[in-house]
Amino acid sequence: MRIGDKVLASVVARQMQPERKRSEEAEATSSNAPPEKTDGSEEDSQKVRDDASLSQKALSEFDRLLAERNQALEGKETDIKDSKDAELLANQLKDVMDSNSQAVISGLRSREYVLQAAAQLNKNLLDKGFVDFLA
Amino acid sequence: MAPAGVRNTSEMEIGKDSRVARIALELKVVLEQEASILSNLLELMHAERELLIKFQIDNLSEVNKNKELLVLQHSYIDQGRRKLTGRLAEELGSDEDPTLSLLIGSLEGKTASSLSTTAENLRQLVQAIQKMSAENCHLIEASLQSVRGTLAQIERRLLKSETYSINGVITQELSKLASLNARA
Repeated sequence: MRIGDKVLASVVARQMQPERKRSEEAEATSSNAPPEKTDGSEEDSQKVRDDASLSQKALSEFDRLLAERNQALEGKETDIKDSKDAELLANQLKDVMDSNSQAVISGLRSREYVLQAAAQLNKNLLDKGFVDFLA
Repeated sequence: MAPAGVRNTSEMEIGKDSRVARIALELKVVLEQEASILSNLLELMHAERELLIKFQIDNLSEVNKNKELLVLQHSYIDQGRRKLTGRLAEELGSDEDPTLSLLIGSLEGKTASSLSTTAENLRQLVQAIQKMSAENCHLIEASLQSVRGTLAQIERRLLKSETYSINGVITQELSKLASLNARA
């Protein structure tokens, strides 16, 4: 579950709790207490006002949740961007390391050639004819 | 008074002796030049040995150049020595390509002893160079193994391959490097 979804679920659960409580209370009242004699139109208008208030609250909550969700998503985008940067850096580091290794290899190869040349030269320092002449 | 024929033969002998002495002197000069070159070469080989022991391979290139130059110089001068040797051998009536000992043996007196001293000096130089050359060749071989072992190690890391073969045997270059390190 994504961060935004988690937040949305918890807020909706919170929002649902008082409404459920209210309906349970209403049920309990209707079953235990005798019905009050109220003016029906006033009751209706009160109910409408409550519903409207509730809707307004839900709407505000929804807006807040939406804002939270958007914020969470933005954070995720930052994470994704950071991750891309890290990958880029890792690639750059690998390139530098490869380049350094190549430079070391090239230096070692150059030393190998110098040593091979020295070995070759040492084998042919003195002409055999000259050495035989001195014998 | 000696008869004309005898005098002519004697004059010819004197002329021959004089030519032999002159050629021998020229040969001595050339041999001394060669000795001078070989002496410089020996110095360079000492320097090479030091560089190899300190593993300063980068500076070895300069030594190689100087050595090569000396070897070329020696080769050029030795061509002159061969011509002189041929001429001297002809005058002395010996082999076409005689040894220095043989030539000295055919010479007399001062000329022979003078050449003999130069020959001994040259022999000592040649022996020293041959000995130093063998030692340096050994050091070069050890350095080459070290360089090749390091190269193999780096290349394997780059290629992400294993130190050991499939059969669990350490690879050849690394094995050489390991033996080299153990010796050090």
